[in-house]
Amino acid sequence: MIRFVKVFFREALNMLLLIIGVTALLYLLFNIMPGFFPGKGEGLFGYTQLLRKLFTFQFGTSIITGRDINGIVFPAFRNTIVLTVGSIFFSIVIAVPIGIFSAYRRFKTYSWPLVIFSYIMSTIPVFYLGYLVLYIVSRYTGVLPIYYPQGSGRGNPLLSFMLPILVLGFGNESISEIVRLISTELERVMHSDYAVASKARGESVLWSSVNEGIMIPLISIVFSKIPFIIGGAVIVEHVFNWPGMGRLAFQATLDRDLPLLIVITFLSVLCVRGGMLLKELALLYINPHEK
Amino acid sequence: MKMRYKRFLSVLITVFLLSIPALLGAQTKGGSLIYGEYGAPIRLVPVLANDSISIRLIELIYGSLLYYNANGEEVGDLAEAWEVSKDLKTITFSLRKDVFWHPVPGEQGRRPFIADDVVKTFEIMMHPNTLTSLQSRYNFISSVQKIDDHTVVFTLRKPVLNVLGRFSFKIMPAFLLGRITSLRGDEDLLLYKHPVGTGPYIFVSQEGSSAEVVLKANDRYHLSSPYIEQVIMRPFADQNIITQTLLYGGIDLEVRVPPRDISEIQGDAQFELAPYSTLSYSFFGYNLRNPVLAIKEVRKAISYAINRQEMLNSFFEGKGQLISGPFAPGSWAYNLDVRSVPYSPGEANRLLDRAGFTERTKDGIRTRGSYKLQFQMVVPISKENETTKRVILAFQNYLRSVGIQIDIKWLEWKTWTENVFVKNDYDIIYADWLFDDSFDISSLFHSREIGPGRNNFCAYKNPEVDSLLDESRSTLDIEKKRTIYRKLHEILAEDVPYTYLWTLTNYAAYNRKLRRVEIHPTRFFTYVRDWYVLEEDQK
Amino acid sequence: MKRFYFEKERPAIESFHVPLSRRASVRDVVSIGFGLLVVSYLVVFYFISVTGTFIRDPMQIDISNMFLPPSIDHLFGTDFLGRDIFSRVVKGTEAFFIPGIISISVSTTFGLLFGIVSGFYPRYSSKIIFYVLNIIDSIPRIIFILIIIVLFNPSIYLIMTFVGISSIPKIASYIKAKVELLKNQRSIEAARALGLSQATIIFKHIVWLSSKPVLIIRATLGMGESILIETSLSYLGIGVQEPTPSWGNMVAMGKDFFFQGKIWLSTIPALVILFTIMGLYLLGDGLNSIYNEKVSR
Repeated sequence: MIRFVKVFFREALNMLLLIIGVTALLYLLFNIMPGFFPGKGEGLFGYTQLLRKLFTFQFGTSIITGRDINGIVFPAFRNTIVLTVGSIFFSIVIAVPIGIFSAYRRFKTYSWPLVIFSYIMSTIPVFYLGYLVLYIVSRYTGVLPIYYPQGSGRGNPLLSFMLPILVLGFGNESISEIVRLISTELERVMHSDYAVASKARGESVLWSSVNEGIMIPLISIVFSKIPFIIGGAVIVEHVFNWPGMGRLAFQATLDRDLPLLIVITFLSVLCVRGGMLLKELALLYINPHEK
Repeated sequence: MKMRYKRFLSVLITVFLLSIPALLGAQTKGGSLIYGEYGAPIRLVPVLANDSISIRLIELIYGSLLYYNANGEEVGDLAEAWEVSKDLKTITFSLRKDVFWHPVPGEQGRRPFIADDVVKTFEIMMHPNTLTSLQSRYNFISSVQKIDDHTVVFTLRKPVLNVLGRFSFKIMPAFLLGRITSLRGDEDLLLYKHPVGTGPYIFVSQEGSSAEVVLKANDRYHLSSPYIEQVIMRPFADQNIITQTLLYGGIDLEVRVPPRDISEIQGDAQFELAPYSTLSYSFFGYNLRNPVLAIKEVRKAISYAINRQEMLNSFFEGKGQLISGPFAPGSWAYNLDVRSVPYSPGEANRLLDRAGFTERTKDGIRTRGSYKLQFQMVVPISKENETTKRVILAFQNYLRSVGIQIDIKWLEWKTWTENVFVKNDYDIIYADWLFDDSFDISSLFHSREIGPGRNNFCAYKNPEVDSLLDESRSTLDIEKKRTIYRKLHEILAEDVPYTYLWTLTNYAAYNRKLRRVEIHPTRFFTYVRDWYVLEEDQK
Repeated sequence: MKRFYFEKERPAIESFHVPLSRRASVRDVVSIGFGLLVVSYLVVFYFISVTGTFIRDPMQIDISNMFLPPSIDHLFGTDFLGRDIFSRVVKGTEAFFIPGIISISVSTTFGLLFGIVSGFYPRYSSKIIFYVLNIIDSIPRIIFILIIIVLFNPSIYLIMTFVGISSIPKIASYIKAKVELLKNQRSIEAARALGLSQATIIFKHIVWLSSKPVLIIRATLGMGESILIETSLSYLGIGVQEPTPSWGNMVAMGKDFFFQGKIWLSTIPALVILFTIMGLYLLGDGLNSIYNEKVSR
């Protein structure tokens, strides 16, 4: 228990320091750039102001476009989280069975098609996959599975929710990695003495020791993929018209709205680091003996 | 007996006549209209807004002193009457007394519209610090004065033709502007986040700027209330998705259908395509400061070298019209006698030879001494646009075959504007101008409009044109003005400061469940109050 | 390294001791074969486009022949300006080749540099170095790129440099772990005893012998990622610009005609990308399993 707390604090401190580092970097860049950003803060004072604004989540108004950042960012943030978390679940749900399946079969030829399939899905350009999905689904079901606002009574909410997640789940490259990881790990473990002995005894090899073998790297991979997933979300949000942070970030780029971008970066970094924190805690939980 | 029959008959007929509308599917209140736009509104504030998406929304939310109805007649919106003095230098507006501003969040009740609002809006609009180019349009007005709560007087410097048409600018609420005298867009105003106007639709919400703008019908509208209860604008990040969404019922109206999607919609009986021409045209503009481009034969040769009809047919499905001068065809200013430059690479080559560019480099580019026919074209990357890319690349291709090289530089919008209008760091641009019906082109071609931030970015100087432009602005005789414009058309076609390309026909597409749809060429939603959705189609 | 308590300690096999034929499985051979096939056509394409020996000019606009489906005349059909898609695919290799190499070199060189330095001096420099690297690592890559775009208005080469920078943290941490591991191994001690200079030790043993497989994997992955990133940027409108063809901007421009049934404009380059990246990944995978290294991240 104490270890939990220790680790939590250690990681949280880490996170804080990193976030400060990120904001410092951004602030530096913001001020270095010549000319056209009105409203730069002065030196250190400006920086502490920025920090205060960010940490209290009062983002104020964007200097460049006059928009109210708070009002815009939070709904978008929520939407992107939904998309991101959903796609992680989806990746795991797809990739783990494939990995297990391919490791289980001694004859690799059975599993190859599936592995190839997962590779293919991971290497198609994300927006193309999105278009393909839209095309196929709309022609076959008569519904266009893009985002529809609540209560407008149009579209199919289930499809609109699931398909972007599906596309992002494929497009974030986690599937092939997870598949690879699981199949190699599982193979290795299955051939180890312990597993062979277990099997001779008639026990099911799958859950006991394998659990540890899979969970740790899986968790590591999943959480380390968070930055990529946020990146992939930018594209998926465009195609499916999902009102999330990715679309907002690009809009900010077009408008050269650096204040908004800084806020978005801040929130993303928060997510990423938060994810790392959770990962450490999860690992600790699973494997309390391991240092 | 006969009398009774007669009366009975007339009652029957009356009842019958009255019920025809119901039988035919009368205008019923209710329903919602969801329309899709490519991109998001930049600023939902009159005076500052200059992108079409914002302008369309503002048309729904805000009102003006008067506007033009579908027959071209002036109709009062916020003004119920007006009077122009005999010397044509004073205009007095009597404002309606039954106009109320939309409810302000946090306040009970609704404030009345009064003369202060007009005065304040005008003053802010004309303030030199305000970030708008409207000042030059309205500087014929020397002052505005509030006489009483419902009377406003505008004093003009000199009489102006069709002056009433100028008073279609949108009015903002003075009570939400406080002590502000100018607007630059970065103030912390409630009005920026929650527009409050006097128009047919009330702003309800905009969840983040990449989500929908929701409007609801103004129940206390001073003119006829709109039938459609709710209007929602959905911004899209991907243009192709808009048409697909329309086809699958996700939206009811697509404001501007890209040419490539037109045939798909035409084939579907559920949807209607409504053409509307905006008063705009596309062109290639030249920087006459470049000594090579200053040679008229070079510019003319470029005009001959490109096949405009082929581009119009292939890239825009032929939906448009070629133009021969700086006006939109179908406008009163257009001179039909001036012929368009035909496609003739042979003539182009001849002109270039005549201009002395007879030697060629290794790559086939014409040169004359130290001058090379190589130009830089700057293009703004504002939202993915396949037709722009195709036009530009085709342009580059046509010119290469007559020995001119074009280097294309893609710039971000703000940088592009800076390069073209401020730094003049370019040779050729591809752009379009959008006009109002006064077609005042003096800001484009008058020599005093040359300078940083001004519209005569090509640095065109012609004293004859200058004097004609000045004359056209001061004359009150519409026939005279038309003659002057015709002459201008002739001269500007001959001088080629631009290569005039075409005016495109825009198409809006909508689901047939929307009835009585009429579209205003520039403001789009001016007649939205008459649109309605049949009862059975309202979900 | 022991992962589980029931494992036996296994020595890390130095790759050059065991002959390849004994350890390669069918799967590996196919992977590598496929990968090499991909690499070879890439090289051929690149060569063709650099020397300009095209059968059909990839830039030749022919408006009267737009949107021709694939045929004998035009293997992949023509695009929205009548240009031959096949030639453009060939020429497209130019667009990602150099930027990809830039990205890979930046990430590998600096990754190695930082990894080695922090491996040898774990206490001071590594803390600082990794602090900075973790900052970079925490920012999602596309957002990083967007910020760079707002600040610098960069060319594709500069963008790829920053993409490379964003990959440095991973490589550096891997190298650092390697260095720490090997620093105390007996072979190094032996080398040091023999009087080999520090530099030789670093380069020969650490970089070349032990890290080579992972670096190769990183290189193949990095190339693949560059292609995908350029594709995403082109979709957004900010990748390689017309008329220069890149696979990314071909898929992106083709999307505008996708729903009208002219799907080959987008699909063919997408398939080419798919094929190529798969080849690269499989190559990396095959090499990896041959060198018998556990890919730890």
